[in-house]
Amino acid sequence: MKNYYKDLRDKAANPIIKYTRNPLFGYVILALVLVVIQLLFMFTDGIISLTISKAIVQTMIYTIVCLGLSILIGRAGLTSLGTAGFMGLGAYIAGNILKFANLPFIFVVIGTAAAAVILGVVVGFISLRVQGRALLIITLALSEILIELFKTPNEFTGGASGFTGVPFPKLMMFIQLNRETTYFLVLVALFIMIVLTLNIIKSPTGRAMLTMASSPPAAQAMGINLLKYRILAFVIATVYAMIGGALYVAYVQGASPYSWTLLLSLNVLVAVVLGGVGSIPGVIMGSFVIFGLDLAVLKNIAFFQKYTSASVIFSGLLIIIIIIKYPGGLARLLRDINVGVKKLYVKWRVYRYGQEA
Amino acid sequence: MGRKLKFITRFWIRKRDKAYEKLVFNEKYASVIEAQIDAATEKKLNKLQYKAKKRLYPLEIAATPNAVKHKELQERAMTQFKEKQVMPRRAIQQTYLRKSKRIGEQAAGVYRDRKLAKLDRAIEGYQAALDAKYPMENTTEPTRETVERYAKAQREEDAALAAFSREREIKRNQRLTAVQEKIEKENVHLQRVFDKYQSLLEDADADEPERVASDVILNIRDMHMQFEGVKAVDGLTLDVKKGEIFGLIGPNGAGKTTLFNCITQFHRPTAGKVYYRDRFDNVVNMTEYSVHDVVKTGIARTFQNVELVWYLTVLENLMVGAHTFFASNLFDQFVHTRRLKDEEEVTKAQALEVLEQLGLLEYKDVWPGGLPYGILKRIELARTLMTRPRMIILDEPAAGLNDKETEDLADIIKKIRDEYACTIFLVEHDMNLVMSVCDRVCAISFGKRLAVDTPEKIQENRLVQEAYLGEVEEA
Repeated sequence: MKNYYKDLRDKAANPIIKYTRNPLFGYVILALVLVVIQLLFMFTDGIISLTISKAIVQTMIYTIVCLGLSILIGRAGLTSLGTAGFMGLGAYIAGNILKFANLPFIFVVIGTAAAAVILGVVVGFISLRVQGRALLIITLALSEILIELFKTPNEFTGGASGFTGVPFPKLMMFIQLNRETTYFLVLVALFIMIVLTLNIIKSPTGRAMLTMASSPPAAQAMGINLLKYRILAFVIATVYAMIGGALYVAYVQGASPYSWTLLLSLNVLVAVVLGGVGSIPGVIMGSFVIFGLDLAVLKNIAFFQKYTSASVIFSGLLIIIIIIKYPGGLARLLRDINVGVKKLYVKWRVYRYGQEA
Repeated sequence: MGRKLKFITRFWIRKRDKAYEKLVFNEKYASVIEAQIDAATEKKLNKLQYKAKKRLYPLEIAATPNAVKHKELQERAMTQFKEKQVMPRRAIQQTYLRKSKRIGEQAAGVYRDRKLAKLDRAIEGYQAALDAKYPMENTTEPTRETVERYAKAQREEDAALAAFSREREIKRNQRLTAVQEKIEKENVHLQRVFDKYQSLLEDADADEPERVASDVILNIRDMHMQFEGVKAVDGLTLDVKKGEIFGLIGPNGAGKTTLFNCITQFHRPTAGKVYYRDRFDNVVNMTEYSVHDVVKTGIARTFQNVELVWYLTVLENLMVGAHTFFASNLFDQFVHTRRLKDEEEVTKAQALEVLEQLGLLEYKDVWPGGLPYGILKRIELARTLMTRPRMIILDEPAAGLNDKETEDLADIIKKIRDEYACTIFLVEHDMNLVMSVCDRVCAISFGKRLAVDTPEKIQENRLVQEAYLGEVEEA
């Protein structure tokens, strides 16, 4: 009797289908899992250690940075090795705003982003007519200049010994965050950044950048100003990197110039390539493998605790295997798994029930 | 206009183009809004109908005579039960096939019969249970009260649905009139802005019409293009008339593509002028425009090799063509505001229209990689149509196509000329295409003009024959 009116219902209105088909569904689930992990850390004893919590925050911050670089590489077809310098600049700007003015975090973000726009335009203009390797060298040089500036003794960066004493950020003027709650701030920031990235990819700008990368003459014939979108791509990447830096300084409560090295830029680049350029799930997985795997997983296994260098070797081997197996990145792996599972299901159906009539 | 575009004219052009783009956007906006409202109404109506049926169902059950009701319920339940057995039956059949290979047909047959008999027994058992639950004998008639109550409830639900539809209709009309009024009001303003800057621009180039005849859309004057000693185009002068299909032919290396690149400013001509009558009948000198602004004057072009974006679907590729018509700023694009969504909808509607015109609707959601070459060429053509062109420049449209595809292409080119009121300027090696579609043909050789004439006369032209076949005659 109950089934009588069930078949009246439109299948597309089925809430399960409706929500699972939403592009944000996967990210919401991921965010919920991360919230649960932090809640377990806060309210239970010892299930989740502080190391894991820290590792997750670190991965989330670098994911934001990687998202920016992913737009630059995957959409606009440009490359950059200046990420560390930009991230460091964001960290010092945000750190100084927090330390001396102690403004709510939203103002810190706005201030950092404004600085990032200026820097991005400058970088875009400097690297106007170069491509590929030359572009890598120019951005690397810019980054090194910035890092050298951080190291020179002054009251804003603390010189070579570093910059300390940054308070945890305040939310809306009166909510003072602490180490546990800053985790959620980073999580929300990551989520917002993912939504923004999804939006910009599915908009005229995203399409214009993709056209610019795949066929410059066609882009020009369609009225796309290459210069403008090139600079815009750099601005976006820089803003993401500097916001990542701001979150870093808010969580770590300080910054050392030795955190912003070429190695960091390379790691970010590897994370993007490993994950699959231009793919957001890929970027998340890539930055997890590069930044989170060691701290969150390997440090908790007895073997790796005993032989610390084994974890580096393990990560290196993993990266080599992934790159050999999946030159298109981990996003490709995700798709392959998806396709593989579907194929397996079809195969099973044929085995069990025979060919469809 | 002067030799260089002055700052002020640039400003006027920008203002005028913005007004024009908004006017174009408004053309489709009302119909898109209408479709949106209708879709929402239908969704809501379906939901309400479903709910009404759900509410009415118990009453309906109570109001139907038991004989009818029980029969229907029994049938429904039985169909559902049988449907559930379809897959197990297929599984048994499949297992039978597998087993017959392993243990012989007879033994497998025993297994199958046993299993099927079990299912048949289940059906019988279920039928008995149904008979007990919904007996067909000694049934009672429903009371008059319940029947009346059902009829009344039905009337009420119908009335509610009708009232909802009426209300929605009124709201829809109100919303549409509001939108239309807003658009009209806006259009008046935009038209005024457009006219103002248009007249300013017309005044600015008052002396130009004397130089370019009124039926000429493109006027190339004494153009030279030199690449470090190689003269690709050497003193070429050409007129393309409005609304014609103009062909450019010549042996390899005659400078045809270079000429196109010079018109669309991919190369800056070394000397000479390219006058062009833009969308608004102003004569402009193309050499004063930068490459990405050329499309705003109404010149769209295709390329020798297909230059599509392989990571975008066909529909999105077409939407790239409408890039200059988007007025949304970066904030709109990052947050996906109403404005951007509306613009995307309008562009999508336009793109679908173009796809339908060119018979590409079935490919709208696929990635272009792997599609046949003829289709790719057509998609590129469709993308140029998204730019609202006044003149389309086709660089070897038939290269790599087979005869059938070339014939289709010829039809499409004519269709585009007629329906979109475009002038078409094409370079082609395929003489069949040139002879079948072109109104006039220009033959060039080593950057110099040989002849401009109708296709038939060009074929007979002595100079052209020599340029193509000169060496053959000598041999």
